[in-house]
Amino acid sequence: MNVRSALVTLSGMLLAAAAVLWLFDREISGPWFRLGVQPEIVSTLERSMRDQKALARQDPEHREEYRSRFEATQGLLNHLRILEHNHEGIARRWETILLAAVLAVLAVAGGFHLLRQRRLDSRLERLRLGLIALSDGQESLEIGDRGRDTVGRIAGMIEDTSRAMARDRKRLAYLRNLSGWQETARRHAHEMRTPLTAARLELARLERLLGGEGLDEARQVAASVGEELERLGRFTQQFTSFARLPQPRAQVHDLGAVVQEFVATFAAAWPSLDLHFEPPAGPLPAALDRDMLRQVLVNLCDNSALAIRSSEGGRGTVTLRAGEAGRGGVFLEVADDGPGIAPEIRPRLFEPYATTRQVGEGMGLGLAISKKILLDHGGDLELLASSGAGASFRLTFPRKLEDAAA
Amino acid sequence: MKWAPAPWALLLLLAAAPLGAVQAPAIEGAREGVVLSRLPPIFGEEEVRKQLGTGLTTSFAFEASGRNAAGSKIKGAARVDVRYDLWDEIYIVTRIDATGRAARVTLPSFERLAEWWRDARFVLIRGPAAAGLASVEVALRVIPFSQAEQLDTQRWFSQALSAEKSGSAGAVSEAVEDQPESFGQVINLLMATSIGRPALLEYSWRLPLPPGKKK
Repeated sequence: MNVRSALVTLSGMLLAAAAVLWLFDREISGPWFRLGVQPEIVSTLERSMRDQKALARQDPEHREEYRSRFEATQGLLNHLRILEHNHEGIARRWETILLAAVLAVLAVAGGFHLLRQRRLDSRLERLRLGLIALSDGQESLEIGDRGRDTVGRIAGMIEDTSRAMARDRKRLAYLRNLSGWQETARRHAHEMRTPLTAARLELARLERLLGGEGLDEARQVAASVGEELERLGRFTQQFTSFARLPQPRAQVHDLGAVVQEFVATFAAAWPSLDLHFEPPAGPLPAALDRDMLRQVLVNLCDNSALAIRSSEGGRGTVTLRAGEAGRGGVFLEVADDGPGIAPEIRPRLFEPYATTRQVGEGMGLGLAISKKILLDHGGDLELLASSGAGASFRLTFPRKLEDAAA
Repeated sequence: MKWAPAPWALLLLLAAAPLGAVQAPAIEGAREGVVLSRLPPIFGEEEVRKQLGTGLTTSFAFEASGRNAAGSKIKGAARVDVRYDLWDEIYIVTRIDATGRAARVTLPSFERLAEWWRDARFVLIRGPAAAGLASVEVALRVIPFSQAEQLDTQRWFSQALSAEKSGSAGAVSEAVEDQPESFGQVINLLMATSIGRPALLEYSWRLPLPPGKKK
């Protein structure tokens, strides 16, 4: 606690109290008392007593009545004289009562101030420790101060900052990890593309050399090799796509309209899926790249279709729902009624090559690419829920272009 | 060079003046104890004359103390109450001495009162306890009103402070009425009890007890 500040405050309060006491005594209680015992009143009462005596002499029949009035007046006069005699004592007592009252008020106010100051010090100490923890990189801080005053608001800001920092750190770590994978993929693609190109050229030359009749079987073998090489080429292209994922060129679109258009266009793209969209009540402006959002939705629907196809029944529904996400964002939920995501894959669901599919059914890059696209938008892609009744993903987008990541 | 008295010497003289201004009473040993007589002529004091004319009961309280041959402290007291009846214009004097005896006289004038005072004799320290006293400290306090009058004024003052209860004090009293009853009573009590009985005048003498007359 700041002792100097407390002393200054206390001195100020005492001075103010002394000034109020002095003014009260000088201007209020003193004059009122003097008014009660002023000499004019005493002399008037004395004159009245003399008059009663004179009246009693002149009117003896009512002597007792005059005497009674005389004694009543004398009693009052006696009281005033005794009061006058005790003037200083009464004034001292009155000042003592006032002083005691003021001191009691000061003591209560001082005690209250002291308690409040100690509580404030304790809260400020918690803030200080919170800031130290924040600077040490501690995530999701809980300072535990829910006050509505400045200190409480600062505590809330520190907690918000720690959560935002945790989010950013997680995002950064993911992007760094993904960047490493992209570099690996780029190198793989590059290394594979060179021999592939050479193999294709050699194969073409072989076909030219085998141009004569009777060599049909040799041609079939060559064709088969060519198909395999084409397949290897597409495989390499996927690496390339992942490695050279472009930055989104976001513009503000009505998310509802974009999704509605996607559903209308791709309704027949997956024979095993029914796409169902619940349009929002009004427009939902979102900063997004339409083509990249379409790519994400295609990835998610591809995954759903594959999962549903492998389950019993072989047919399912993907439900899309959009709305306000708070903190200046909008969301889009994509939920299917398939078998859900295997628990063992969930912790690394968005990492590249994380897949439970058979070899040849995909490389497990779709969700990693989708996540990267959403993060590049300044939003996110999260797994909301997964169970035996299906899986649901949540896509978030900023509403404004300036909030979208560059 | 003229002689000029030092200021402190003047102050000392002024301070000492009241002590010597009033003639000391006399004491003597008697069968009943130490008797006080030749009371100091304080009725000549303007303050006393004025106070006696107010109609309040002026108390003249005598207190005496001394040490006997054994070194024990001996105490005694007596009191004279004088009230001027303003209606009948008479002085009512009540005297209570150390033996507990009370005497009441009525005097028609101030001069007669002064005579009575001059001739008054009463026991200040009771009988056997006074044996062996060499000197006696006598103190006189002139109290401007009696205890009964003090209590009556305290009661009146307390009622005046809570005058709103009679319904005659108007808006101010209505505001006072809003205070908690107990708080108002406490303040009234504190204020009323500030009315005391401070002495109007005080005197004290050390009087030697004449030898050979001690009992």
